[in-house]
Amino acid sequence: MRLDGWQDPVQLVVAPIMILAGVLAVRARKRYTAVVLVSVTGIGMVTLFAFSGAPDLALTQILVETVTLVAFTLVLRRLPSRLGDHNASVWPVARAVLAIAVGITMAIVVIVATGSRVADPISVEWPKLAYEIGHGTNIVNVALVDLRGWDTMGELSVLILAATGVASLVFVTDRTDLLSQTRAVPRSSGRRTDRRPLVETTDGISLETEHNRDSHRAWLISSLRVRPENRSIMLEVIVRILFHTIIVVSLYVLLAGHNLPGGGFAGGLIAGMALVMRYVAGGRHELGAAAPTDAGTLLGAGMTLAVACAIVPLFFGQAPLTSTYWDAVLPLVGHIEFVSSTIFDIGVYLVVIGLVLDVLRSLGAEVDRQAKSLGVGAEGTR
Amino acid sequence: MNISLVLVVIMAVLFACGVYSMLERSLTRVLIGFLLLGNATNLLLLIVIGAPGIAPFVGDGDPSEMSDPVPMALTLTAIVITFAVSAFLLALIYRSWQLGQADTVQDDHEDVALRERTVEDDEVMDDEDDTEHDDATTDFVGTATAPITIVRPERSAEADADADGDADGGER
Repeated sequence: MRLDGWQDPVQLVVAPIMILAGVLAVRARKRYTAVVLVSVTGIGMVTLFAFSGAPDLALTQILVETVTLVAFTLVLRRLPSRLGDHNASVWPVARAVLAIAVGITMAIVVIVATGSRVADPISVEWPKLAYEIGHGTNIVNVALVDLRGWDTMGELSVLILAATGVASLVFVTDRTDLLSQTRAVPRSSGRRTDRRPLVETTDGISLETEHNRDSHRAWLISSLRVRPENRSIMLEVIVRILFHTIIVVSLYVLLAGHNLPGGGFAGGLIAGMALVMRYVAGGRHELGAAAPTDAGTLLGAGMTLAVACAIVPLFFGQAPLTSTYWDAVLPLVGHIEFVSSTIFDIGVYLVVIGLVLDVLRSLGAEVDRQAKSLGVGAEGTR
Repeated sequence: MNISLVLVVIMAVLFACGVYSMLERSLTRVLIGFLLLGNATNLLLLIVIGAPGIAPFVGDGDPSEMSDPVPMALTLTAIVITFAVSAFLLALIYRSWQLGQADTVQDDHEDVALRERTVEDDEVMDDEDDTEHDDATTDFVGTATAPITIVRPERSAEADADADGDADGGER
């Protein structure tokens, strides 16, 4: 074992920023200051990952930092800005001593743990395994969906539990999906009428009828429910134009993840970011229009796909989560390969979107609704 | 295995800050401490990789030059789970504030009983309910953002009962 001062000059640049942000975050007097400072340490992690040969981690961490910041903002807008300290725990000196002791202990732990890695690591064989068993060149992604698939399966369960917990804490009495009720126009009875598109009329947006069939299709539906002074047309239009592009990018990251940086987690977070943008720009009705389906359905469908990937190989006498692949030569496209673990990754993708959507509709849309029904503040919806 | 001393120092500081923050009463500070601990733990896994190599992609170079992909797979899982758990803690903070108008961790009853013995402590508790001293001393009472009460009537009664039970005996 060798103890270097640093391994990369970037580490020297990042170190003071992260240390300062961490210390200031603990001492911050306002909630939002503390949250932004914690984000600074997270961005510092992104930089360290990027310069340590871990592009997947950098990509995922920066997306998570962004979504976390949005989720924080959604809750903090309902809380007072100052962090009171009248009921802070006593004995700050004792706590500081304890905290420093923990820090020193962990420093010793990591030096001892790294120093005791004398045997060849298990990962020496992973490049070969990833290519021959997983048919992918991104070793980290193949590890997640194939070589260590059970880990990811357990993680998906945690994500679903957390998403359900968030929804239960905010919705309290019933976990029915209120997002479908927050569409801009109340649903009429009967399935056929539900599918009628919204059109622009001189009196505003309404459902398509015999008389206004020639009108333009409605595009920005939040004009129905959001007060004009609370809208930003520029933001709404740009988000509306970017939305589908971002979804396509997320699908690319999902499918390319087997061989390039990306995968189900990064793809799902990018698609979640698209939903976040629609909500921030247009409010909860816009989110209702943008969301593909109920968050619970997404979580369930994703987990079902993942479990199917584990069970189906059993019928062919294979171990659970064994992947197989099909290749074909298509005209114009050339030689393509499809690995069955991609289906597992699609499950991950759906669960992550479901988690972000659950956070948005609980901490965003439902909190809006609860605030509005009590007439608290100018929420901008009517 | 090579260890970067700079990274070890960052990790130790983040662990210390996280633990210090988690020992506070305010749930917001507990969540901030949790996020700092999450970053510190990810950094621990990064240090264990040793000297950074090239990104682990088959065909980009010899496997011996690559960064170890095993801690990376663990870290990727940890990042996403940290997000899920922090979203859950955020919902807890919101709910706790909705019910008790505070995002603090409650005392246990023995502790409350001990504090109730002295008159001075009763006065401190009265101050907590005093809406006049709203500027910097309290978290929630009397601030511009009025608290949300429960929308549905049957929940409202229950919520009041909860709030009474948790009011540190200040109303007696």
